Amino acid sequence: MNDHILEARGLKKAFGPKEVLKGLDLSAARGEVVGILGRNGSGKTTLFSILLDLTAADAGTAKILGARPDGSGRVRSLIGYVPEKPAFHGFMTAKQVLEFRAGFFPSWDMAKALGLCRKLELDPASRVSAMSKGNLAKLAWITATAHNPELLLLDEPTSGLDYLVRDHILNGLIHELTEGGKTILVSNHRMGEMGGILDRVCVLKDGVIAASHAAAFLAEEAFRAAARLESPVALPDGVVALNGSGALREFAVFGRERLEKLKLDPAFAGAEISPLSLEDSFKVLLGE
Amino acid sequence: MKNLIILQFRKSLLPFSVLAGAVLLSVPAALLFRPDSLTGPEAVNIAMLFWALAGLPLAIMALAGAAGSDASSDAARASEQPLPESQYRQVLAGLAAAAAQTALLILAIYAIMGFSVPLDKLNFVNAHVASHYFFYAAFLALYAFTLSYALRNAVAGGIAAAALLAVTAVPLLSASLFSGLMLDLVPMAFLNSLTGILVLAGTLGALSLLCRAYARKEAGRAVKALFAALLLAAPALPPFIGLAILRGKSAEVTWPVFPLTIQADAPQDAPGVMLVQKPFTGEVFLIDEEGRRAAVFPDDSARGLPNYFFPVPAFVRGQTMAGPDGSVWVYADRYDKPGVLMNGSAAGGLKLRAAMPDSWRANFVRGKVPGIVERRKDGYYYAQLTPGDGPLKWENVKNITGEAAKRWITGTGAEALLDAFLRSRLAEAPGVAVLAADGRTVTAGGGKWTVPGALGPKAPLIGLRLGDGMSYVVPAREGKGYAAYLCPPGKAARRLWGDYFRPGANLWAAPDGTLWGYSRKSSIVLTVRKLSGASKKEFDSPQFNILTREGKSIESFRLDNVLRDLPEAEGDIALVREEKGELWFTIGNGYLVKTGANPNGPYSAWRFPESVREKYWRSTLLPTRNGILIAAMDGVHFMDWEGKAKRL
Repeated sequence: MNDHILEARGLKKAFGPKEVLKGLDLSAARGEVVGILGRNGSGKTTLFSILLDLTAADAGTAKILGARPDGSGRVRSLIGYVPEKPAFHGFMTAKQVLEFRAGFFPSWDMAKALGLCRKLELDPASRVSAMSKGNLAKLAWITATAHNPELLLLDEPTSGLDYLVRDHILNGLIHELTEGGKTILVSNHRMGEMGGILDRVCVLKDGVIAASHAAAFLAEEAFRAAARLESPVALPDGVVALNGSGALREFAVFGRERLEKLKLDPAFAGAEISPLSLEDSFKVLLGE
Repeated sequence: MKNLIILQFRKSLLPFSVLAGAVLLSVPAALLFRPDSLTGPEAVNIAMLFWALAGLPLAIMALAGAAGSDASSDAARASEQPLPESQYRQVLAGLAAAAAQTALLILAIYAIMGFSVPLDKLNFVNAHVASHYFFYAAFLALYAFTLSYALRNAVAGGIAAAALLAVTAVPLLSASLFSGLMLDLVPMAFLNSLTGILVLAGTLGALSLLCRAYARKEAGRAVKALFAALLLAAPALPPFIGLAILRGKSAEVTWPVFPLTIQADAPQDAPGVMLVQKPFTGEVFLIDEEGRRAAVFPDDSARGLPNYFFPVPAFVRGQTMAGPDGSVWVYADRYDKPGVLMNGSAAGGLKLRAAMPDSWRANFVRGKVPGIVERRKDGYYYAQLTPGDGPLKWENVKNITGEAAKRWITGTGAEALLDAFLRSRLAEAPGVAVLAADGRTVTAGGGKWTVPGALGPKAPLIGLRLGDGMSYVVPAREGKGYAAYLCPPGKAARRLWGDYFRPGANLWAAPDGTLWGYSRKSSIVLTVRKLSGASKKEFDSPQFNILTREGKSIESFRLDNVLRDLPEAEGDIALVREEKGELWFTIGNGYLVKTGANPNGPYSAWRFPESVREKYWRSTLLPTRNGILIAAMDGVHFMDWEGKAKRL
């Protein structure tokens, strides 16, 4: 049995002459946490929108827990979604939002929702129109998880939040993972802060998944090599120039085997090798 | 869906509450500030009328427009689209809430009026609008929402909805009013239903397409938007098609120019022509049995935009008369044009002999030389109708002299003056008899008869050319009853039938010279009785007396046997021909019937083409020697004596 919670094949989407997705393939296995890495405007939100059945793909197929985004909105009952800019009706209180949403999700767990309110220090009686950005993010997190979805789509879930709120959200994520084995698709400009929970990082570039790396690989087999080069050299595959001026240059090297090969190159003799941080790895991947 | 509707309702609760409160507050306000001339209920009704005509349409535009633009807003998209409901259902929930608020406001106004709209106190147009009010309100709510959703702007959407409502409702209303006031030329029930269905289906379909184009951002957005626009415009199509059909059909409608007779010294001499008007184009023409026609007034249907939306009939009155030379004299007066007097024939055309710009009315006068009497503002004028092209010589009737005139002038005014004048002119005319002052002596064209106890009619007696020449029928008192006396040429007057018969009232000559009259009533009275659960038609029909050209008298002839068999038989019955013992009758404007002398014997019946209903015009048929000319809904037809009809 295919254990993929999410499977997208050949997704295409254009807005006028601008092709945002150009045949994107993506899958996520049950319990997998996948980070979508891409620059602004690379199509992350469009991808999420298609998966959520909010936007129709021009071509390609997507399947989420066996359901297809067909315009009925049914797949949204299977997904917990945290948008980049959460919005609720201003005239409602947090509790009214939860009660209202409960009417749409048969598996809604009000006790869990209220429990999360307490845990995240969100007053259920507070009115949405008076909520801070952080409280809106908390409410979004609660509404995304209260119906116990198997798949969470998180679109910049910590964007613009202070450290405390961010910790709350990340702790919530970890809790969902440990308690429920959720599948999570997350896009985040500061992917480094997610590093500990990611299983895989996919690079969305030019409308397709340009690269996909296991998070463990990036954590353990990404290195920084600093070397003094007397003359320009051709860089082998898997080695990316980072910065430097004059003869002193820095390189990112992905893979222990490539690192060993590089060390054998006379030009890199004496290079100083150190681990590359996740944050820097993501920067390299984005810049590739 | 219910939760979504409740949500949408709640989102616009504040403006709705303000409007509903204003409606309710207008009741005490109307009572407080009512003028003395109005009772309390009348003042409240006027306040509610204001709401219905002005306040409510604006309220609907505001509520539905705001709901529509909100449904397309980024805020709604962000807060509602993540819900596991299709975007279309989410938009429909907004529409349902706006429709519910519209219905509640209408209900409130209706309730305040005591659940009764005083249609009887409104004029026809207002009553018609009131009876279709729900349609207009529903249209405005649906379109204001949909267009505001499409344009993402409540004001623009509301104004566009009002404009589309006007485009749809004006032709529909005018077609409907035309059907109610004039003629049923278009199937209004079908048209109304089709428009209603298209309004509902159009808005739902357009919303679906717009959702797919703008919310789901499906490919082919421009095409979907175009189709949505077409769907929204579709409800205007049936009304305009209906209006086009109405205009096309009304342009074909023909009515006779009344009075529908052609004056002639003898019916046998009358040419087979009919003076016909197309009231909705203004065209008037003389047409014969072969379809040849001569114009009196040309087609004048392009009478501006109001007439485009509501064709107004240009009523024409006039007369026709057969001249001694076989030509036809035509007098016609259209309300918006100077009257005309023309002479000629349908085949050869008509020549204008006199323009009559000051004419109030005119009557042809048969005599030794035919003439015309015209009523103008300053009195009556008479002219002899001489052949040729020269101008007519008009004579002021006031200048006449003579014993008859003197007798009638005294203290009896202008009408008596005219009557006296005509009598003096007609005394020697062939085919016209006058009764002497003793009420017993009939004189005409040198003939003189004496009848016992005649009634002394003021109007001249019209002669009837029967088998033995020009004869006169005089009704005379006989004991407590009446009898009809026949004055034949060269013979003494004789008693014809033992009942009251008077030419032009209940006695007529068919075109072939057969004399016929009815002794009780002219039309059919139908009663339906229920006998043991079954319906039984009972007819009370005219009872005819007939004098054939050969002098054979048939009395108390009835057509009940025929009438029982014919559906929808109604209207006047007239004898139009007798030939070798067979009789031809017309029944209303519906049937031509041929029957033998035995009223219970076999018969043949043929349906006439549909004519304008008799409630407006008594007859659209003109019998001639060869058949019947019929002014029908789709033009002029001719039916021969064996029922063979053709459109001319």
